[in-house]
Amino acid sequence: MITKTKTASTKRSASKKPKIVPRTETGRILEQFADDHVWIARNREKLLAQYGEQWVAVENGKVIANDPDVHGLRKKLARPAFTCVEFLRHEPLEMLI
Amino acid sequence: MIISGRFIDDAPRFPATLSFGEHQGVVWLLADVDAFHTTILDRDLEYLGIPLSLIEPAKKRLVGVGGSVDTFILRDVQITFVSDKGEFRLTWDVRVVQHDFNKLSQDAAEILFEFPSVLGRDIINQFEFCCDYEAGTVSLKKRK
Repeated sequence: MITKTKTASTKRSASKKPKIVPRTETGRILEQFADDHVWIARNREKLLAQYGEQWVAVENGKVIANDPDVHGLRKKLARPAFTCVEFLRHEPLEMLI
Repeated sequence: MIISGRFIDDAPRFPATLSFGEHQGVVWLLADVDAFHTTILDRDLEYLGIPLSLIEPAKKRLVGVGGSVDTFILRDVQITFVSDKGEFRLTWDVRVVQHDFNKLSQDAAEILFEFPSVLGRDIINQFEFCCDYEAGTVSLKKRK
């Protein structure tokens, strides 16, 4: 019998990119949105050093705004509903939904 | 037809656009097989800019580990996923929860804004839900 033990913190931060993404406008928007979140996950340590305990907004792999307050960040964004936003927490939450 | 999701911080999520009248936006939907309803949470509601006046109270409050919460319904929301066959659209009544931040500590209120919206069984159960963390793949498959 093979026994594997892992904790969540040792696992990957983001999965590989799906192979098939249709070239529709919605597809492009969703792909970019997903890619930006993956970019945050992959660059978390570097981002934490600069933006720790703040909300960041990312577009095309660049931080375009930051604010400690989620409502404040929204006011800084031209298109908040289409922008990848995330809170950079030094100690990740362990959520139960 | 296959809708592919991603693992973000180990959690299986599906990106989708939501459209309700003039309000449109992109959200992550966390695949939650224990949730009855697909539900928009506080941050996404605020960022989508949907006014509370357009939301009707639900007959039942949603219940979670922390208790129940004020629950509303947003009717006929157009949810669009991207599949290997092109765009897949659903017109769906989604739940909206609104926490009473006056009753919460500041810490608790801030944490709630980090929670993603939820893809519940009302949608997941229309598909074959495939989740293979080791392979890094998560998908919703529609049988012919």
